[in-house]
Amino acid sequence: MTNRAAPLLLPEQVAWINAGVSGIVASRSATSQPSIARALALSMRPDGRKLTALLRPDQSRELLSDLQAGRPMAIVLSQPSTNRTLQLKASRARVRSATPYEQAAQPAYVAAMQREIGSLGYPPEFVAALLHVAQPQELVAVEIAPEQAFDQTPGPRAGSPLRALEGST
Amino acid sequence: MKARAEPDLRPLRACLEGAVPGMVATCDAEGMPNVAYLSQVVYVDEMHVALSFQFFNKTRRNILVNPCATVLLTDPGTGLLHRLHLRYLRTEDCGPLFEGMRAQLAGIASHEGMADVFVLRGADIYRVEDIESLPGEGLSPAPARCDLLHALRRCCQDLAQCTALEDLVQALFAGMRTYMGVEHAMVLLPDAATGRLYTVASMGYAQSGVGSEVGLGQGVIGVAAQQRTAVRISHVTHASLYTHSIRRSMAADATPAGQDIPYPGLDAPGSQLAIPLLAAGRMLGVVFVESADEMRFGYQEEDALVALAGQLAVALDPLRTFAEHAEPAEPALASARPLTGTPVRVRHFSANDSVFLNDDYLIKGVAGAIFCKLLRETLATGRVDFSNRELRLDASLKLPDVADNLEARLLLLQRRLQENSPHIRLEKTGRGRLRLVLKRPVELDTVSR
Repeated sequence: MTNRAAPLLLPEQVAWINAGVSGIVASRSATSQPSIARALALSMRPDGRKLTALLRPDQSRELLSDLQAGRPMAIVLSQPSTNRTLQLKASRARVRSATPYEQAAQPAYVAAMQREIGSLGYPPEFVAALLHVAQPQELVAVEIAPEQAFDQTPGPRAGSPLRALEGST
Repeated sequence: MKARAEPDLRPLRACLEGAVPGMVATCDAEGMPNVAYLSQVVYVDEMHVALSFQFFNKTRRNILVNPCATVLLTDPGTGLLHRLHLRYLRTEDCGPLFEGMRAQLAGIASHEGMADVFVLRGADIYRVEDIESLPGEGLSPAPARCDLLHALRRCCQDLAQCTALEDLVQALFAGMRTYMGVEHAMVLLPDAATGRLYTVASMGYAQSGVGSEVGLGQGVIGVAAQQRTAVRISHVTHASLYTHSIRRSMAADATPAGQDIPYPGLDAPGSQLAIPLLAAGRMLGVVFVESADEMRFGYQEEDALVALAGQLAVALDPLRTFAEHAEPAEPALASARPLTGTPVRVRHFSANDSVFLNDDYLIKGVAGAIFCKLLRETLATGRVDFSNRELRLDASLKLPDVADNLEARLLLLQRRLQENSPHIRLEKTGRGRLRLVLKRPVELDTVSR
């Protein structure tokens, strides 16, 4: 999962992701039926080479099964208050249980999103309901080393690549 | 997890209001997935949605090679998630659905400050193959603003008591205000001769705007009339093309200087809904409601108001000819004393039947011709009582066709006189009967060209 090429994302973009953005994860089945779920927490390694998203297995059964089968993953990261949006893609993802640290850190993501979405007029209870995790120990982590990154901010330029690395699909 | 064998989108309409944008996943020929935000997921029917096609983006390219798409929706009330498994069927680039989405998108785009870049190229129609409601600990849904079904019943009961256009419109406004909390509304009727709609009554505006015109296909109101479909915009701002195109085109369009009546609408609307009045296969007008608040009118309000507009249309339709059957006239009041005071100077330009009272624009077109006929007759013979029937039979008035709503033109004329001249009034004296009341001497001057 490591790549010797320069990282796709700038430190500023990594910081932006770690400050609290929403994440929507997708893959596809063997028959190319897309699967999709909302991430309940996100974190990016400071070097920008690994992104981890936490999912509730009961909300993302098909997606997790697709990723476990070694199929590619896309994730859209977006800041609702500004519409700034990035999409990262990788040809495969690692699926594992969330670590105790990741489980413990999930409420901090909810708090960050409450501030972010709260600025649009949504009450904290709404964000808490949207990102609710009843059983933290059941959370599943999906990790990718981003191979492609796209500017996805709404408008005609949406979809333009930030950069494409060698060997990416 | 699969909710049901036969998908039914109806319970999810609240998720399609766009309060929380939907997300769509597709994948390309190589099997790489793609996720994108959706500007619009529009309810078409229980088993179909339409997504807006604005750009030739990755989602668009993907569905053309692989028609499978999966959409993630969020209920804006509860925070619960739903997944729709979709199959792309076709793209529509004209017609009611497309035009309704285009108007809605203009509202969203101006909301996002992107009015210039958000252009709808097509409405992509998808069949819903499956709906999954995801587990979660949602909030309790907010209580409904009001019981709309009951409100609709009360409004319909009030409409059912009415026997004249003016009563119907007033009952409509009172009902919408009392039972549904609607504060700003207009009723517009079509003028077959000009192909435009004119405001016959309004509620909740500083200026009534009675007599102001909107072209077919122009703005939310004109699109609703032309496409015969309800058009609802939940985010409208100052910049909205669809609000301001009306004002702009009114200024530029076919209306000679000094003969325009300002469109009464809100300066900064948040939500708008225009509903065509349809009966017996004809478009009889438009009911338009708006609010300063965003997201004021949802699918439920649209349902209730469309049903109410249907009732109004059905009530309006027979009135158009019913009013011709005049009740016996009361004896005409003899004009006992001669009129005194500064005469009102009425100028009538026969080219377009525009009428000015002391240099102030009053009205034009058929209503202008009717006014001058009545006035001429009163001045020549002293007769003040008239019937709809004689107006209908008067070829010189050039009434567009038998189905033309003469009653509406009389109401328009009556309102314009009320608002612009304390000295000349038009009164209804019974079904199909009217009286011209002069309180000052009048000098009528017809200018032919």
